[in-house]
Amino acid sequence: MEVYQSKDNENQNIVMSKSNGNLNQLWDVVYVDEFKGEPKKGELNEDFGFYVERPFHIVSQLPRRRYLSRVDGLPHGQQVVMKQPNSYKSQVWYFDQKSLTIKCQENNQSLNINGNGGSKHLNTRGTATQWW
Amino acid sequence: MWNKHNGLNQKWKILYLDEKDDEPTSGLDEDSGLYRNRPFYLISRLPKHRALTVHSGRYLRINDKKKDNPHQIFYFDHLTRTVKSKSYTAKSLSIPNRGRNNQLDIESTNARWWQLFDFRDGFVVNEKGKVMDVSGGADQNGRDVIVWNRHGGLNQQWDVVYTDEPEPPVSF
Repeated sequence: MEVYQSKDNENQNIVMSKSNGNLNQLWDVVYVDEFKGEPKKGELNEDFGFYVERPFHIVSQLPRRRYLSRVDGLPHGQQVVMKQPNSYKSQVWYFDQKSLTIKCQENNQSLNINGNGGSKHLNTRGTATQWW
Repeated sequence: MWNKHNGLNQKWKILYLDEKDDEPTSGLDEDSGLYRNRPFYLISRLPKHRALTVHSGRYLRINDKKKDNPHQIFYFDHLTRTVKSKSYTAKSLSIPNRGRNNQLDIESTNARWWQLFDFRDGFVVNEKGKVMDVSGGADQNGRDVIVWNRHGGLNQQWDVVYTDEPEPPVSF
């Protein structure tokens, strides 16, 4: 039993194939009575390294320590820049457990690579939970 | 997005808001060179030492300094990191047209790069390098203040005089 084409996407088909030992054919059996459940608000999601719905800034390690910020009006679908800290929600991000994405508190959209991942430009978009 | 090369420009820190120290509301902000929320005049170093003044709620010109004239008093706002007018506290020093030209005025605060200014060695320097400049170097009341490439002339040099401190001696 394998994940078709190894694509780790929501609604990706599961098919049968010859055994090859690849990750898309490997599964864990988790008994329901041993399942801890998904991390709740304020708890750490160990797979992603973020606390659920706990707001944060993303701070550049360049000398001026600017914050990742969402802005409008830039070309090429670019919406994410770094700016000096201010009091706006455009600089506040959080990890959303339901979609497993990072969202901007200003518009509750997910951090996203433009063009379905085909671009180098970052923006926020309605949540798709695709790899980009 | 870019391939990983471990440069400092690819490194980020996650700072949770509930672990963040409270932003200081007073004292020197070393990045901008200005004291937080401490009202000041911006005095031109041209011979008449005129003060930056807001006209008609928007335009910036130099005029004779008058004590406690709110149109001549500005402060560095610690939340938005912009320079605000005491008369119009929702507005900040700004290069109009999203920074595309050489004018200077006060506009609704958005803290974009065209509203970010530092005070360094007598120059009021915008984020992208242009400095505050008395247009044409004319030391006249009502003369426009603009931004221009830095050339070091006296018409680009300013003193920040905080309202709670003695004024520097004026020489003619």
